[in-house]
Amino acid sequence: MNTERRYLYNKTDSYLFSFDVGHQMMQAGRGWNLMRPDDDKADDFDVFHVRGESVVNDRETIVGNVLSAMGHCDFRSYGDTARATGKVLLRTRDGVVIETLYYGASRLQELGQRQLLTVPDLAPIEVKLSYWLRFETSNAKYRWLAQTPCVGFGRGLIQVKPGSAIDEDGFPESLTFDTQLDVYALS
Amino acid sequence: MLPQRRNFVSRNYIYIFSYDVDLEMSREEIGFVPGGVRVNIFAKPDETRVYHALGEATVLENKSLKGTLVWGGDWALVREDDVGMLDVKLTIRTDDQETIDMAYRGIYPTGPRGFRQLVTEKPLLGTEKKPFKGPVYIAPCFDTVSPKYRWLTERQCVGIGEVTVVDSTIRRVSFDVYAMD
Repeated sequence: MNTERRYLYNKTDSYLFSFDVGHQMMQAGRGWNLMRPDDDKADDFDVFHVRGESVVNDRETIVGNVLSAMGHCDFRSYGDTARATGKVLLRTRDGVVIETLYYGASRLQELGQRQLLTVPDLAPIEVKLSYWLRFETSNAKYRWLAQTPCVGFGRGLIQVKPGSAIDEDGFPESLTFDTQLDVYALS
Repeated sequence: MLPQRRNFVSRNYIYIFSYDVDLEMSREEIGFVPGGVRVNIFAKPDETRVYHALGEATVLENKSLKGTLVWGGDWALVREDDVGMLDVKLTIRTDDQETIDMAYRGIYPTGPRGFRQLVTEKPLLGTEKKPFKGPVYIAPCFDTVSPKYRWLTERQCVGIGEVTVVDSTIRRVSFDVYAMD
């Protein structure tokens, strides 16, 4: 049996870009589906660098828009953490389409899953997002992104859409889930 | 519509455990598939310890993970763009006899022309005296029915590690696993 190390490997991460997306959240069995509404188009770039820098790691910063976003969250019967998966399609300002695939954890604040049952008096629920991301693109300029291991740290807010109807199980039919995600490259 | 932010979301990595896996010499070579080469690689069972490299007894106010990797395999794809893609499932038996399922996707850059070197065998990558060592990155998640280790299932984790290659064959992989917070 091999011996145990007494040291850790070097770990660094470097910030690449962020994207912020507003979703509609709809119940799907024991989980929830997420989808960005078609009418929620940003006037400004919603793929951006938080500090507005134009160069990151000797490369042009990724800036652009979110074209589409869909995802799914599954909760266990215990606990307030959902396993999350999804895809986000980005288009850079120079017209390149990049597909983002993510999986990870969406952690609601304590008793968050139970809070979803307290509608219509639901207070906004804070969510912590921890994602592993993979990117796909056919464009040579951005191919480095497809070869880079990336993680995303984010936060979200679940709220009842004003005027939402309540279904027979007591859940609101229209929730919104606004997310903010910072993407880092691991090295 | 969300106004553009000028602040970062908080981030933290919490170290959880480490493991170093020696791999079976025999493997299932699927061969060329669209996009790259597929190969299935398996861990030597019951030979890998899961441990805390810094010797701490608790992590996130829970008992540190210590145990043995009883089974594991990687259904790997080495892509034509010099990136290795991992698809791994492992089973951990803790020292207190609980079973934890661990699954992850991952990525390891093989370096420029790495794909060609791995498939053409000219020249072979790494030697016994000077093995090739490269970085590898994974995103594990866990499943268990044990209440003692339920805390693992509530986190997305990342692993930073090293792959050791001799004669173009992966011999060993080592990881440090962190919870994202």
